[in-house]
Amino acid sequence: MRAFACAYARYTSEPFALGQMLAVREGRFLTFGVVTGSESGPNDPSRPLVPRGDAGQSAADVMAGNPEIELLLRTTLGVAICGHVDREVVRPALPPLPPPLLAEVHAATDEEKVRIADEGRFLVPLLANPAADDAVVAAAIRDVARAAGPGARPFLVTAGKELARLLKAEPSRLTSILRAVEP
Amino acid sequence: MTLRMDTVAAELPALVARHEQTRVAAGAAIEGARAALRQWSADPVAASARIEAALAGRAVPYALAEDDPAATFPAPAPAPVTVVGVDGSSITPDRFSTVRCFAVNIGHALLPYGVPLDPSFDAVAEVGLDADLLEGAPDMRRAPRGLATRLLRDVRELERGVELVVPALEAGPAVLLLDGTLLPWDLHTRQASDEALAPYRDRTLAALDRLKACGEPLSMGAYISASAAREVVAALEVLAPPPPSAPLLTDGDIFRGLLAPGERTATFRSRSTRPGTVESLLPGHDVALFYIRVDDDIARVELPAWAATPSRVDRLHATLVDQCERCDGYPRALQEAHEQAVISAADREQFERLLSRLAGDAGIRERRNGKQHSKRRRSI
Repeated sequence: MRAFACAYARYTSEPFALGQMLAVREGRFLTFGVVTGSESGPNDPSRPLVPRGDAGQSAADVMAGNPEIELLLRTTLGVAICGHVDREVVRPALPPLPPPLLAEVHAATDEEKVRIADEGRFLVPLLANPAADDAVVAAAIRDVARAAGPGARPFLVTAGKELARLLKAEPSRLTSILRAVEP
Repeated sequence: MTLRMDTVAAELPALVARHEQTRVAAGAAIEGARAALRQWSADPVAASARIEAALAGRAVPYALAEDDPAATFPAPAPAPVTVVGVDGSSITPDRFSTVRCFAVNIGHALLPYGVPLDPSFDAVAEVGLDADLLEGAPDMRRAPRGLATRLLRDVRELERGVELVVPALEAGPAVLLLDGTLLPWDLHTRQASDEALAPYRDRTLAALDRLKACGEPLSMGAYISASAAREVVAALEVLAPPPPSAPLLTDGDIFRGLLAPGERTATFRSRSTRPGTVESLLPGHDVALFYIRVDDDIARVELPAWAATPSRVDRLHATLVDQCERCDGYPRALQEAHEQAVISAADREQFERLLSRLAGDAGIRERRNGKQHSKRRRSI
C-alpha cells in the first residue's frame, strides 16, 4: 500500500529518474508516487549476466552488438506512494487500495505533479516511507519545482516550510534534504 | 531416495577404467581412418567412385565430399546479417488424461547484426485434441506414442522459420538456424502409413520450397552439437576396412584432430541408396553437411544441397562461429529460441491441471486411473 514496484519489459538505459513522480491511472483511484530506486538485471534470475564485449568497448556498443541482451534484462523501479485522487479530490495520502497489479505506470504530467504536491502536503506520506531517503525526497521536490515552471519559487518556499514542520524533531535530516534540494 | 548412489558409486570406477581402455583403442582406429581420409583426398574422384560402388544397394548412409574431403576452412569474417533461430517443444497427449490434448510450442529468436531490424523473442503455441493429429490417418493410432506430435512440431519449426526469415530478408541477408536434423526423420517411419504421413511431408516440402525460392540472400543450417553421426566414417571404412574388433567411430572422432577452433570441413553430400529415406520423400532437397569445431565440440551442420553454394556456406560458417562465441559454444539464436520454446515440468503440470479443471467444469468426469492416482498422491 505504501509502495509498489514496476518494471520495463526490457532493459532501458534511461529509466524514470530518481524522485520523478509517476501515475497509475487505472483502478478505483489515480495513484501517484515517486521513484525511490531502480535496478536492472536478468529477467530470469537463473541466467546470470556475464561480462561481455572487449576491453575498452562501451556499454552501448556491447548492447548494440548483442541485440538479445536488452530483451533478456529488465529494469525494475521502486515507487513510494505520495498521494491519490479519489473522485476528482486530490488526497496527499496513501490510497485505501493499492494500484491494480499489471496496471501501466506513466510519468505524471506537470499539471498532475503540481496538483498532488500542492502546499507540499505530498511530503507527509513520502517522509513516512522508509524507502524515500533524503536524496529521494529532495529529488521529488526538485521534480515538482521543475514542473511548476514560474511557480517553482513559491512551491519551494511552501515545501521548505512543510519540511520544517514535519521534521522539527529531526533538524539534521531537514538540513540534509534542504541542501540536496538546492540547485 | 530414487537412485541408490551407494550401490551405483561403487561401480563407477570400473566403468571409467573401461571407458579409458576404449578411448585408447579408438586412438589407433582414428589414425587408420585419417589415413583413409588422406587416401581419399589424394584422388577424390576415384575414391568417391569406389565408395559409391561399394555401398550401392546397401542400407548404409554415407557421405561423399563435394571436393577435397580433407580440406579445412577457417571462419570468414562475419558480415551484417539477421540470424533467426527456431526451436520447438511439445506435450504429447497423455493416455491417462481425461481430455487427450497435445501442445506444440515453437520459440524463436530473431537477432539482427548490423541490419536495421528490431530483435525479437517469442513463442507460438498450438493445442489440439489427440484426434486432430490422427484425422484421416487411423493407423497413426498404432504408431509409437508421440510420433504425430513430434511430426507436427518439426513441421511447425520449419514453417515458423519461413514466416520469420522471409520478411527479414527484405532488410538484408539472413541465416536460418534449426536445432537437430534438417529433415524430420519421423517422416520415413514405417510405423505409420504413407497416407498418415502425407500431410506432414507435404507441409515440410512446401516450407522447404519457399526457403529454396529465397535464393542467395538466405543461408540455413541445422545444428547438431556433439553429433554421433558416422556417414563419413562409413565412406572411409570402404577405403580402409577396420578390423572387426575396432571400436565404433563417429565423424567427430575423425575431424576432431584436423580442425582448429572455428574451422569447418569440406561440404559433404549425404547419400543413401536405402529406399524410402527422408531425402527421397522430399525431392529437390538433398542434404549437404559439414562439421565445424567450436571449442572442443565437433558439431554437425546440415543444410539443403541447394544452399551449399560457396557464398551461402561462408555466411553460414561465419555466423555459426560468431554465434557460438557469443554464447559459450552454442549458437546464441538457438539458445534463445530454446529458452522461448521450452515447456518446463511446472508448465506441463499446470497445463494438465488446467485441462483437468476445465473438463470438470464442463461436467466431464475424470476417469480414475490407479497408476496415475497413486503416483500423484504418493501416500504412505
